[in-house]
Amino acid sequence: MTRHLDPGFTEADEAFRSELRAFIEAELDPAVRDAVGRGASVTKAQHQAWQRKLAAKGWLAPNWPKEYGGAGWNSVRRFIFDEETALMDTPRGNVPAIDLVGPLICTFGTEEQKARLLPGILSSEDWWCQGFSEPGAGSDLASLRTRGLRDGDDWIVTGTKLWTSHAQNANWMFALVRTSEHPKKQGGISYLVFPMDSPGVSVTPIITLGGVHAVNQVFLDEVRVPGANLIGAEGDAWRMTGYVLGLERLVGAGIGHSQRLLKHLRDVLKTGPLAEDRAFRDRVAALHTDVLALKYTAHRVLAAEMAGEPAGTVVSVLKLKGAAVQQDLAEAIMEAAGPVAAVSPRAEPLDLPADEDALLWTATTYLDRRKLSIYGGSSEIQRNIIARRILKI
Amino acid sequence: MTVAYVFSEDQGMLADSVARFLERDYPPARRRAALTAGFDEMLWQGLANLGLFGALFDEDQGGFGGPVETMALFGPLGRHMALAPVLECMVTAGSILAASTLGPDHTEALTTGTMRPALATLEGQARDPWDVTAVALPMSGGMLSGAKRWVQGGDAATHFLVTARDGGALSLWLVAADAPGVSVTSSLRIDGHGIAEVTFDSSPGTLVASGDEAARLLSLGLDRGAMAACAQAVGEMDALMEATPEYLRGREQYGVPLASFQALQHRMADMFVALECARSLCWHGTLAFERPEADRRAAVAAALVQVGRSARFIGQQAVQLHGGMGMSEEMPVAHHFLSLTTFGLVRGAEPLHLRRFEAATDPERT
Ligand SMILES: Cc1cc2nc3c(=O)[nH]c(=O)nc-3n(C[C@H](O)[C@H](O)[C@H](O)COP(=O)(O)OP(=O)(O)OC[C@H]3O[C@@H](n4cnc5c(N)ncnc54)[C@H](O)[C@@H]3O)c2cc1C
Repeated sequence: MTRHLDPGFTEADEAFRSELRAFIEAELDPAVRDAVGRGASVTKAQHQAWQRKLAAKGWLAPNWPKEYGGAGWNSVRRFIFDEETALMDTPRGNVPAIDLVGPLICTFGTEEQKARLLPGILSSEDWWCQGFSEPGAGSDLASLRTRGLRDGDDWIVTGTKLWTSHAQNANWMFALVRTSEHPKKQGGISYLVFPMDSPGVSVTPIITLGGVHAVNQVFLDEVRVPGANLIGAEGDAWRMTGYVLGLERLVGAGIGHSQRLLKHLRDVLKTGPLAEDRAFRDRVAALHTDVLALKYTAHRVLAAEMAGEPAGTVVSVLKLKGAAVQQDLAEAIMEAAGPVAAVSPRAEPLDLPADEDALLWTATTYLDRRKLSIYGGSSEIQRNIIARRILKI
Repeated sequence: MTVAYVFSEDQGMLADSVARFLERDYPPARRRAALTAGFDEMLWQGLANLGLFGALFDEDQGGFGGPVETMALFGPLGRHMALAPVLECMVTAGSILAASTLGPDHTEALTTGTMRPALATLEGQARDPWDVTAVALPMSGGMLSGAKRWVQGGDAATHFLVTARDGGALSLWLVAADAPGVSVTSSLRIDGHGIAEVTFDSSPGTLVASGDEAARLLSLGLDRGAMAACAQAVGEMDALMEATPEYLRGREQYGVPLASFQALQHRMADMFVALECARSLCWHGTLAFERPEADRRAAVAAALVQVGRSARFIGQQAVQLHGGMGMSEEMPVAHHFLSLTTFGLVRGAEPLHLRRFEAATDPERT
């Protein structure tokens, strides 16, 4: 396949892209790649195996500085990495560790914390979960009630975390905990990290649409957390979270994933009753223009970042539009797949030919993608942000 | 107006008795347990014991109802998401059999629920459930061989209604599920309903109809099934339209009920509009069985388009407005979303209905 250079990308960037593709081609287990491609589930061991390959190459942690074992890439490299890994169906690995708590520790942690906590992420021995949301604190995250009380040097943490992704596979949690009273609810919140086998931690599975076990409820009952596990200053977590999430805004748009879904849609549409349908083909073409709108919005942000200028208000478009485009694509794929999409991939299998078997997960993917407009700041919250902060309404 | 667009007292009583039975004997926990287990014999028996299957059949076919009674019954079946193949076996296949010359031999078994036929038309690459003449099994001397796919309700079927071709015209055959050479591979849909692939190896069948009569019966059965599916989807949407405002009134964020945000109020208003449009065309399609066939086809296609769109929008928005809760299997909203998603997948995609609508519509009339 020949690729043309996108405006603004250099030959060196494209050489990096080729190197990355060749690496994935050579190193990623084809069975895992196939599973990711069809939307089937991937085990923790498979995620770990892929993370170890990336780590050996120095590519596991795109957002961390080189001195802590990160890739030390600029925004363009990180963007290319995100795009190509999505396009080539690599497992995503332990996202909360690599994209959130890692950068948090690199930026705000003490030297002792960096030396103690970062190597376990890079070796894939440690698996982290993100304890932010609570039963009463969803969109209104700052109203969280999990409490940390001082006991000598330690914190005693009590509360309930909800929707904690992959807590069942994690051996560490980083949690937002209210550690002091403060007139503003965003104040007094701290980052505490602790092992999941600490006494008082218990995990209850939550099964979501289509029989998936990815999220959990985590009960924290007087969990003792040593003072050395407070990241950053006490009461300063809200500001730190804003900083860390800011690092993620380009990745959060899921541009590589949209491109991947578009490719999948075109593949699915090669057969079936809609293959020749003019209206449906128009819909696919329109979705393609959506993907381009998203991609070139991201390129504008990238260009600003590379020029060292603030990207400005356009960034807010990415999460909102990115979620909608992925959801629309997943819906079109499912519709193009037809009756096979209605078959549960978890039930007794029908004897399906390979090309249809590959479509079994299309409804699961559609259902699962509904989360994109709910988590990480729901689409309604994104609109509120645009209206208030940008349009100043 | 000669049509009231409301159920008569008798029809309302039918709906109430199904609703009462499901409320009492089919709690969500029991449904969840059955979700991965396949055919729920006990539920089927319970529904059959109500003695209401007769309401799905016309009076001249041994029943005591028709399309409107079917609509009345399927609202509560949708609202409570009963995992029983009433739609596929009793309405789609049942109405074909009952309207055929074999009807009188089978109405007793159908209305008591001891006979559960399933329609088996699709084969190979054929995926448009409405294009019934596209494929057919080869047959000779009353024996059928070959494979049928995507047989909805086929896991629980006692009989199959099979399309076949003996050189020339399409014909429709009744084959017992335990007849020689019949083998059934069962699976489940994402909404918990059964689906099967069925192979026949020199299996003996009884002729139901052939040629134009077979085509007429198939079209009738598919249209009856489609309208029952629409009524069921409207029942599901009714449930979501009640659950969503109720949830948002109870859930507080930012110190106020979520229901107080105007953005969410407007979304629910849009859901309401979508629901009422679906209900209108559900009535229109249901009443079209009295009309000439082309009118009926157009009305059914229009209903499938509108109900499909409303089902998608209302399902998605109910989940969205419930936040993470909407994705949890503990919540009925997640299950309604699954079944409303299957609606479009099983009945065929919107472009197919639009084409059928266009073909059956007189452009001079609106
Ligand atoms: C699959 C999945 C994985 C997740 N993983 C994690 C995880 O690992 N760790 C973690 O901490 N959390 C996780 N979450 C939680 C996620 O961050 C929350 O679901 C999200 O913050 C929304 O909160 P909520 O679910 O309580 O919805 P609510 O806040 O109750 O919102 C319900 C609805 O109201 C709308 N709404 C809320 N406020 C407003 C407003 N002011 N104006 C207009 N509309 C409004 C919302 O947009 C939504 O549509 C996950 C969620 C999902 C679905």
